Amino acid sequence: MAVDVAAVRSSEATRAWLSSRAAYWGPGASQAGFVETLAEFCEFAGKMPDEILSECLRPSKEGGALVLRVRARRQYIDAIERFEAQTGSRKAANVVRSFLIYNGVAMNPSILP
Amino acid sequence: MEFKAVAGWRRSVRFFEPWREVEREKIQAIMEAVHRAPRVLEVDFVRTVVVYRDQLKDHELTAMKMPTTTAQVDMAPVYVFFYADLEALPRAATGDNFRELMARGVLNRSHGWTESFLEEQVLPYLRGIIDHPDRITMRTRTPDGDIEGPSVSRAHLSLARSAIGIAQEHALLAAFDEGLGAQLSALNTNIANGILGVPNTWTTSSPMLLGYHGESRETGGQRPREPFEEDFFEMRYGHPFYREPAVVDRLTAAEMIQPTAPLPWRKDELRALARKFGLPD
Repeated sequence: MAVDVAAVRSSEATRAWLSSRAAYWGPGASQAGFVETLAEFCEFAGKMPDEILSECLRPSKEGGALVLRVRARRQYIDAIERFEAQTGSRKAANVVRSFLIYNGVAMNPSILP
Repeated sequence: MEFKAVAGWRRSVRFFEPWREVEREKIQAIMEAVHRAPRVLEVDFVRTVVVYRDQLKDHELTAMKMPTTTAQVDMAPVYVFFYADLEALPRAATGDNFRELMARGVLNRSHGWTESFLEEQVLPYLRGIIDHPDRITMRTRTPDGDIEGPSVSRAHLSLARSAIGIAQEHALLAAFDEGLGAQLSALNTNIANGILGVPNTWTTSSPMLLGYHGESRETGGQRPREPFEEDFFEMRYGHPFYREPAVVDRLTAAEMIQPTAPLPWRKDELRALARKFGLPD
């Protein structure tokens, strides 16, 4: 699946991620290359950012708040670990984790030895 | 360390020095503190199992991890699992422990303790808790499915869990007094119970991660609390407990009251810690 970086950049989940991260760390926080890395993962996973997020979070039956889908998160935790192994880059994998974390999907990887 | 400073410096520490072992004597000091913790109804509910991360097999450690606490479990070199033995209350209902405490001058006539008080009021009260019809069945989750354990009354379970809470607090304070960091955290206790081989009559709560601080002792500052006057009252609900400023000053000088998070450099510290341990920011 060829991924259009511009489409990744313009997705709602990507924009929410980058704006939340900038709000937390301040506007000067470096985010260079983040979208390109996320696009690489999207290609790896065969899913666009909004699809990834909607797999991990579903609307509650009552409406309003989103509910975490634990099994889907587990699948993405594993996928990110495979992505890390393939790219040989913890930094790249952490960019993807950051995308999920700032969109409300908590994850907490192993530390580097 | 003085008590006030221990209370003031306690935090939920989430970054530990993974390479630094905790001296066994410090762990023993913590267990000795737990051993002296107040007992709910004078019952010896509390049990602990100390686990050394590096002595676990890889698959055991992996199985215990939760998706949201992996990093701190990786970092902490020691885990302390707290349990309450639900068979302790039936043992206490024989009365032997209370008789010993009367003989030792702990439970006294001045407060109404006699053999007949014990037989006619205390022990029936305990048996009433044990036999209460509002019950739940203990379950142990295993990879092969749930295994049913004994049935226990909710009141009994509530007492047992109170005992664990008191033990946890003693352990936390003792850990900081020993110069360590600690946090009550989530581990997969169902899996852990199987690995540790604990009886199915033991109930558990959050384990304590233990190690040397991997972040500053301040950990960004004391956690915010609701305003004192909203939570503490005198004589009647709604009449706030008056917070004397001079006492606040005294406790601040004694390090019980410290600056509230976030300290100005906290984000720089968090970014540096994330880089150091390869964690997302």
